[in-house]
Amino acid sequence: MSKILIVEDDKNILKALCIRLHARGYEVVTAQDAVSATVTAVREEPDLVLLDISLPAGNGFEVARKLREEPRFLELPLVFLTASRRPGLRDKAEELDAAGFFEKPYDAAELVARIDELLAGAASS
Amino acid sequence: MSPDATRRPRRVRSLLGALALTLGLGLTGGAVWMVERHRESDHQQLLDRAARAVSQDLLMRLGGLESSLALLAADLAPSEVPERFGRLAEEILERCPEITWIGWAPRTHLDESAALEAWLRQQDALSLEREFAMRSPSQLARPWYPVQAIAPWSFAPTWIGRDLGDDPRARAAMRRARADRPLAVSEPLELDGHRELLVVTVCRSRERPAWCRCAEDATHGSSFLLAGLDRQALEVRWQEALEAAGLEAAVGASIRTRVVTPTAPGFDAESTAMRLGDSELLFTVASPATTGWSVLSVWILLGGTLASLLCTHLVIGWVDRDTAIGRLVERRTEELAKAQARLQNHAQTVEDEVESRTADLRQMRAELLRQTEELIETNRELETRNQEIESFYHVVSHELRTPLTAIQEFLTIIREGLAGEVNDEQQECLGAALESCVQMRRCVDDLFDISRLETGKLVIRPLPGDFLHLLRHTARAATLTAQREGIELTTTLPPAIPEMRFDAERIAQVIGNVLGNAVKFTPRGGHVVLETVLHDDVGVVEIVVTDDGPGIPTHQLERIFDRLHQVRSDETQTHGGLGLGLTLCRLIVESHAGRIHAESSEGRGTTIRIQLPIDADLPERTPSITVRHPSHARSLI
Repeated sequence: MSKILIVEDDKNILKALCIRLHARGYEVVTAQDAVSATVTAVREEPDLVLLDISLPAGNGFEVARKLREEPRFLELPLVFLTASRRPGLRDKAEELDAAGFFEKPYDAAELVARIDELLAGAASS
Repeated sequence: MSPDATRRPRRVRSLLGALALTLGLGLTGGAVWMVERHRESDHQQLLDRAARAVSQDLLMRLGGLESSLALLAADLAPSEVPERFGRLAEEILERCPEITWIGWAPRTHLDESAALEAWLRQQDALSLEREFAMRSPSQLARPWYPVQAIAPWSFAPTWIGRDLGDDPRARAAMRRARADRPLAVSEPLELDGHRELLVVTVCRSRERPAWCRCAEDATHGSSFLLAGLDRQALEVRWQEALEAAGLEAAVGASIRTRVVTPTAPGFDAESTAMRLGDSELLFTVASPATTGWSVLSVWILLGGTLASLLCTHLVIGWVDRDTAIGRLVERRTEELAKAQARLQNHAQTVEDEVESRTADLRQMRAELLRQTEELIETNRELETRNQEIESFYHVVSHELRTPLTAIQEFLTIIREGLAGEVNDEQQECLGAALESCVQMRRCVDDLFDISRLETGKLVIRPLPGDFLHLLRHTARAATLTAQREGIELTTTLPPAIPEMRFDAERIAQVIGNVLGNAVKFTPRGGHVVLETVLHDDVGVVEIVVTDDGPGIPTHQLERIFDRLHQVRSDETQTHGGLGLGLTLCRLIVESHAGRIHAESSEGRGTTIRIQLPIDADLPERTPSITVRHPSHARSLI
């Protein structure tokens, strides 16, 4: 069973994502701020991270950057979520070798399809 | 120089000229006077010297003469006199070199004329003219002529008078002659029974000396006057003498006069030869040439006069020149003063003008600086404000999207049955809630785009892409929406579209917006057509969206692409939205060098045409699409 780390400061969205991904059969761990996100990732070693960009005590890009510093997380799929439409966010995400980029409110079907696709690939490899 | 000083009166000019002339003539006259006085003094000195010389030296040297003459007179026969006298004279000349001529004038006597003439003939000196040509001692040749002696400094008339006898007048004359400083007066000589007197003297002037008068007196007027007379007087005297002597003119008396050259400088001499019968007598009158002015005086006078005139001319010329220069200077000074005054006025005017302009310019500059500073400040404030606004919109957008995401997500979860069984009625409710979520998301997007328009941050990034794929994708999404609304969407696409550059996200937004509007305004059961035509000949792709909606009133048709415009009708109220969509569409299409326009009439549906050039030369990043009516935008916030 693949493990997904969901980093999201809005607890309602977090809850919804947990429900949806549980329903899809994934193991879910969560974090609600940038610091705990890194700690949790190191501890739990997830197969995929759903990463909100706007976070307390930092942002999703910082978390991604720290994770990429660890060799074991170099290939870790990172899927960014954001409610912000500031320009350049998508570019920054691509620089960090992001596996996906979804604007809120996202299309749940598309998001789940992308996650399935990524984790199916990881599982097959 | 003051103007008054330059204006010399004419009187001064005349006065100065007269003064110069007077001074010059005065100096000239003074010089002439001095010269003449000096000359007279010289002449006087000469006479004095001669007199002294004669009286002291000559008399001493001639001392023996008297006795010799006396001896001569006593011893010699009249015929021998000339010879003896000649020897004597020669002796005198040797002793007295200044005496150049000694003559002897015998008492003319008819008896002796023959003997005299014989002697003269013997001496081969009959020609009197020849004798008178001899002037210097060296030229003197014997025999001596019985005429007279002439010294270089004077003349020495010599005559032998008649027997004075005991005539008291003769003796008185002799005394007077001696008193009048005769050089020498011989004792009465006894010559051929006649007593004669030899007088040697110096004539001091043209006046007849006293001794002449004495001699006349002594000879009772019959003697010959030898000196002190001019020719005319001599002739008269001669005539008188002839008459007094009882000699008639009938006897053949005649006067022959000739001028001889003065024997000394400063003396004039004139000789007169007188013939009486067969005898001829020669008289020489010599006198100092004191007449008239000397040549030097004449030259001084002429020169002085000329110099005076010249000086006068120069003085007058100087005065005139001075006056002329003065007037010129005065005139020029006045002109200069006027010019200077004009210049000063002009300079003052210019200065005032410059000052005024400078003040104006300073004021303008200060005003401009102030305005510039204000503008800079305003600009800064606006920039800050813009950033604040943008930031605000971003925050608002973020904060609206986050709960909206949660709402939509939970509704979807419920609807999908992830939270339990959902009956049909609940499904319908959940669908309506989700539709509201879509509307709200559109509102949020519009709000965000407003912020982009406000701050000019809407950027178009054209990239090469597959336009046909974009159309299909967009049409599919719209079809799903249309189906939900019970509207049929028909799509017609060309088989292929050449690769072209476009901002996929923005073009998708445009087409989605147009299709969304069409669906939104088309009533349930209506029909929407998406047709895409490739105009190869002009290189344009045309997207045409037609709906069955209520249409747009003609008077509003041209305003639907204006920003913030929203057609006010019941339908739009139903569908909500901020009405920013078509404005954004127009801006995005125009950024792709294309155009968008609408065709409609009320109740007849609407057709939107979007034309995009295939090979438009678009930059990598087009300039920001800026807001056109910021005041309107503000009023929205």
